[in-house]
Amino acid sequence: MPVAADAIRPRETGWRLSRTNRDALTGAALIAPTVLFFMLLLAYPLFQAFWISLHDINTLSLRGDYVGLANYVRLLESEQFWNALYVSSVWTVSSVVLQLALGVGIALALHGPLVGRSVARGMVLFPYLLTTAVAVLIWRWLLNDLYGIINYVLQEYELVDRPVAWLGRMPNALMTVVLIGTWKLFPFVVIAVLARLQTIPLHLYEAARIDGANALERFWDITLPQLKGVLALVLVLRTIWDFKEFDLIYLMTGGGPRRGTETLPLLVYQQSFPELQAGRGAAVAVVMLLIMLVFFAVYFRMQAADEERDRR
Amino acid sequence: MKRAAMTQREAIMDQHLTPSRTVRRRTLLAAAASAPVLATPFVVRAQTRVIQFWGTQRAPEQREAYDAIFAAFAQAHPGFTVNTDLITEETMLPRLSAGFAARTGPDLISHMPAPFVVQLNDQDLVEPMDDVVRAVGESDFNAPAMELFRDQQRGRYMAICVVNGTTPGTLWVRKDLLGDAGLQPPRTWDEMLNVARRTTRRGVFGTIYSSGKNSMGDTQFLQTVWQAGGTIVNPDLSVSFNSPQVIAALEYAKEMSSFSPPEAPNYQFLDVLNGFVLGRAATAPYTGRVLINVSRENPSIADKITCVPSPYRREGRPAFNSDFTALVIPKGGQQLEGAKLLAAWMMRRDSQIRFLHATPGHNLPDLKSVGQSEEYASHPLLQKYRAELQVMLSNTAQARNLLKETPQHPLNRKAGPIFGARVLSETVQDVVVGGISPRQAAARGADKIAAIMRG
Repeated sequence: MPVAADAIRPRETGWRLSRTNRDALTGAALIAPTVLFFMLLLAYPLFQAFWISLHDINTLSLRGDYVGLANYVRLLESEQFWNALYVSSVWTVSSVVLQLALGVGIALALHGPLVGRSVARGMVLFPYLLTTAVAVLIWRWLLNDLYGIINYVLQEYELVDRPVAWLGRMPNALMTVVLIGTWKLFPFVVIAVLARLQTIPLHLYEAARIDGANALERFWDITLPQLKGVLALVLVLRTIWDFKEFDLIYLMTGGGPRRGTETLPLLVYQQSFPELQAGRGAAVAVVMLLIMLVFFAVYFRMQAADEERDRR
Repeated sequence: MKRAAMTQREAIMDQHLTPSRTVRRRTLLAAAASAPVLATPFVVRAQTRVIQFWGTQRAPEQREAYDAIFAAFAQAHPGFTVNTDLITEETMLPRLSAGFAARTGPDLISHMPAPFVVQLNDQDLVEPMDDVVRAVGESDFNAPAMELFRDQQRGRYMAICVVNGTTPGTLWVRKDLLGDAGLQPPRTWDEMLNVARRTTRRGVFGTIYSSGKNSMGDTQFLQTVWQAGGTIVNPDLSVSFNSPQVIAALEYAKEMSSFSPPEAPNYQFLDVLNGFVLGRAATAPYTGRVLINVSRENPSIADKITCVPSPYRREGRPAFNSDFTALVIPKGGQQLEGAKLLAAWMMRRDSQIRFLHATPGHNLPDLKSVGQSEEYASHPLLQKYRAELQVMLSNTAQARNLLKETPQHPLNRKAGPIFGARVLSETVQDVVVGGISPRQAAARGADKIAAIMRG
């Protein structure tokens, strides 16, 4: 007995959704938890920070009045903000450049034939693994003007008449912080570059040797182009991380002497806590976020370009 | 075939699942049986009222003293225990802000600087301490501290002074180094500069004048301004920071810095203390903490040290700064009753002496009954340095605070924000590090203070 086509076709009623809509709804339901978590963990705090920045609010009581964009106007007019932005830029650029130079150099050394290479590779990670507070304690001890070994040696060999104020004078303080920051953070570059170096095909070097290329030419024409991708990624990541670095600088100098090492994160802290001006602190934080969004945009662009390249 | 397969599967289930079911059942039974035992600590904890205590005095001896005092308290007050959290003065406000926001703040805080207390009180974030004042005895406290902590508008005490002392007000001196140079301990700025100049040599600095952007640098310069005869604000609370006296204070600070360790613009309390104790400075300001540190770390100079009141400008006046460190009960704590009981317990004579003897001379008593007691003075170090103790007690008795610079001043509610913005130490750094003229630096500082006073 023939069966009517209508009998096996799903009965369409007014409330029944089409398959496409059902799929879309299922998809929405599946990503709903992620969206919810995103809203709770990211969007809400960001909105809250922005909302606080529109208020003249006491950090202790979290009470205050709505002042609109007054905190931003005040910020852009303040010498302290522009100084902090300048110091942040100097710190970030100097630190990242030195980390890249040192990191690539040491990665190349550790990639080549070296006695005790495994031990050296482990040792080079040591500064990165140290807690910042411990690293700062060690360096403050070494640099101390009364009992630090560095000043002792300099005086003992009569290289200086009196102890050097590594952290109490400018530009010494900023230079010292940049150097210690480099020492603490360069192992990240080593890890990333070393990993990439190990994947460069050896036959490229053999061919170059046959063609008579010397070591510098091999580095310039083979190694560096091969490292380009990873170096760009490291550059962007380290720039983002260093731009918001707080603990190392705060513990080393507290932003001084004067405001010589006061970066934007330290300004956020200074305004929010010792000065108890949560609104002003939040305004600095929001401006920082906007600056970092530029770096993030570069990062995502690079990611997208990488993915595109991989697809091809 | 299918039946056989089912049977086989059931057999496997019998073999593997049944025992595990039994195990699970046993586990559940065991867990149920042990639940009361496991829950006991929680039940006990729920019945025990834990008082969250914060303090800033973190030396091991002080920690031991706190433990002993709190153990005695818990014994005398069954059901209460004290959880101690020792923090730094610099992190007190950030942590407190987080505590208020999350409603996980402490029940009682000790050693809060007086300007912080007023900031909290202005935001209505402290509980009145009148019960505790009555329990201790109002007349037993020294008057200046009570004056600072009396909220005239609300008619109540916002805090009580737990101990007192002056860090920049007492100048420690190496008698041997001064004696070698034919010098006497200085009384005035001229004498002080002469001492600093003549005792500075390779390996030894004439003095340590801290201009660090921290409490040490701020209070040091505040006191210097007073010693020059100036003030930060006038009695009508208008700004007086660009006065000739403040300029004189900046010139003095600049000269003193030239005889100080080069890192002094980055020095904190402990750097100053260590510099003197290690024998690297002929003179340095500090509390009586010097005594125990010298006796333990550098006993070779124990008989070569003494202290004098911090020198002042001839045209100025003797002046001493103190933090008037307070016991405070922040609002929102879970154990208000316990906090009050504990505060009163900490002010008992035996508790006070136990704590003060932990680092003799570092903190000084604010309670008259303790300061005058033989029991307090009986500590061997305080016996040995009896003359020095009298100098410290006398300096502290005359000490004032930015909250109320002279008896004529009303309470300056902006003292906390002025310290918070580090205007005072930054002004010194403008001169010492930045090379700005004292006149220009004073003018800049005055503008910053005026902005704070307006805000």
